[in-house]
Amino acid sequence: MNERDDILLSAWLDGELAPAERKALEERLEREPELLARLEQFRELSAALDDDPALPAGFLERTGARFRAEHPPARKSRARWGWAGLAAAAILLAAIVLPREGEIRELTAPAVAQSENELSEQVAADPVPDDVQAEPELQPIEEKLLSKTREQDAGVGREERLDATKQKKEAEAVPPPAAPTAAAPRKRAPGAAKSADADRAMALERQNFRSLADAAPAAVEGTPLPGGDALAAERSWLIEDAVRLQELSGATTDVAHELLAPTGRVLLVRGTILECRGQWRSGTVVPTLVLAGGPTTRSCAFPVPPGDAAIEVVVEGARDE
Amino acid sequence: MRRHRERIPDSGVSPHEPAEEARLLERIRQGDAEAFDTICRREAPRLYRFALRLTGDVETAEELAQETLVKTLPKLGGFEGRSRLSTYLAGALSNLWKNRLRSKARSKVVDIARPDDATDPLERFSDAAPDPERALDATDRAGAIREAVGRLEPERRLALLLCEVEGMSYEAIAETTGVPIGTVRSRIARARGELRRLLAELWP
Repeated sequence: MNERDDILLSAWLDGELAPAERKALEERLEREPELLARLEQFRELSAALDDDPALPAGFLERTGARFRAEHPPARKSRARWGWAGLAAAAILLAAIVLPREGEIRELTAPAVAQSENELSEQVAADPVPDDVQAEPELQPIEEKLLSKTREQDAGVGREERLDATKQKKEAEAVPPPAAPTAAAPRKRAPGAAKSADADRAMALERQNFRSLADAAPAAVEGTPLPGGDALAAERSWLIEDAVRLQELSGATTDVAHELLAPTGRVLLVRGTILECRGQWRSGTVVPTLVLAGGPTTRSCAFPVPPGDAAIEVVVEGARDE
Repeated sequence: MRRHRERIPDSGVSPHEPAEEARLLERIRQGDAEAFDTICRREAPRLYRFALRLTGDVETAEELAQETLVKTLPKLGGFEGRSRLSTYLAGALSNLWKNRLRSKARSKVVDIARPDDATDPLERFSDAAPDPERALDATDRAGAIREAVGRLEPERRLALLLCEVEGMSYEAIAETTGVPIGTVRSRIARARGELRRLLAELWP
């Protein structure tokens, strides 16, 4: 009996032989008693290993207790919204934020620029189908916000908005997070009563924001952005738009922060959502939103702390400004 | 001629809907202990059996199975179900076990029998060196089997048990252990040959 025969017998036992190999071996087994005896030995081993020891008493209880100790129930946070919230937020981003169809406004800190370029190289230009170029139907509140955006786009009130942002920054009692993008104050909905709950929520939000900022320090800790003052001003304007999104709903606030916080980069897109899907990567799920907006394709990822989800927004057919 | 055995052994685990499994895993990711208990009841018996065969020790087996469940399940929210959850967990437990062996090998100061050509600490070290206490267990057939399996070279033992206990295909084992399918084939065959010889010694 040689090793080659052992390999064949073993694979036959496991049903892993190709048809021709199996046929040849079975013909040999018919005429070689030693080979058949060896096969029976292997088969007995399989039977011997096929016992079924019971779980130790209390195993499930001990394991459950350890899980409860190590994984307390998650509070609702920005990184744990559901798909519905993500899709709704993406719709709002797509429908409200950008003033012009087919446009991407993006500001990228140096630390993330490289990864963005790498991602961009992975996607190819892809003409947008005609049927995805239509203007999304807007809800009343969206129309209201869009009208503000159009004013800004026309250059009306932008300086005032930036001034107001600066003043609010200075007036904020709580110091802003380390990320430059965090410097923008959160606007409250008109007429909203300031309550203790709201304060606590705000404090919690800032805390979360800091933890997100900590995850990508190189990208957010005051790294000078390329593009000089003009780009910085544009960046503030974009932050203002994102902050306005926070007034709409919790889910929108979450996504607006997610988009802003981890990398210090703002990506605002306008287009029609083609698809919302999830991918399993390295132990986490990456939600991906695919939107149509122009003649080129871009994508970017927003890393968040371990254990939380990452967001990837893929804009298909969007055009660089 | 008796045909070869079925690829997937009966695990005693009732089939379940992938969608339901995905929902449970997502709940576990959010810290839902009841969902964790549900998956645990399904997966723990098979996983523990695999761990016990791998280590030959009830305490170590419980540690490994528990750690695998507690650490791995919360990371599987959105599990696509392309492979069986039990296969994924067995792979995770295998990695945990190999890491422990490597750590043990690195911390081992005294010389142990090592093939000259082995470079991987896992290849150089087996947790199955003859153990007087464990050898005492080999007074019945079950103890002899446990002892014999424990003396197998770790990589061969792992391949054999992934096949025999987990019912994984050679292709899945190759993917889990990161070696070519031909290597899986030879490892399993050699493990069987070695196991047969050891059992003849321990339980003649």
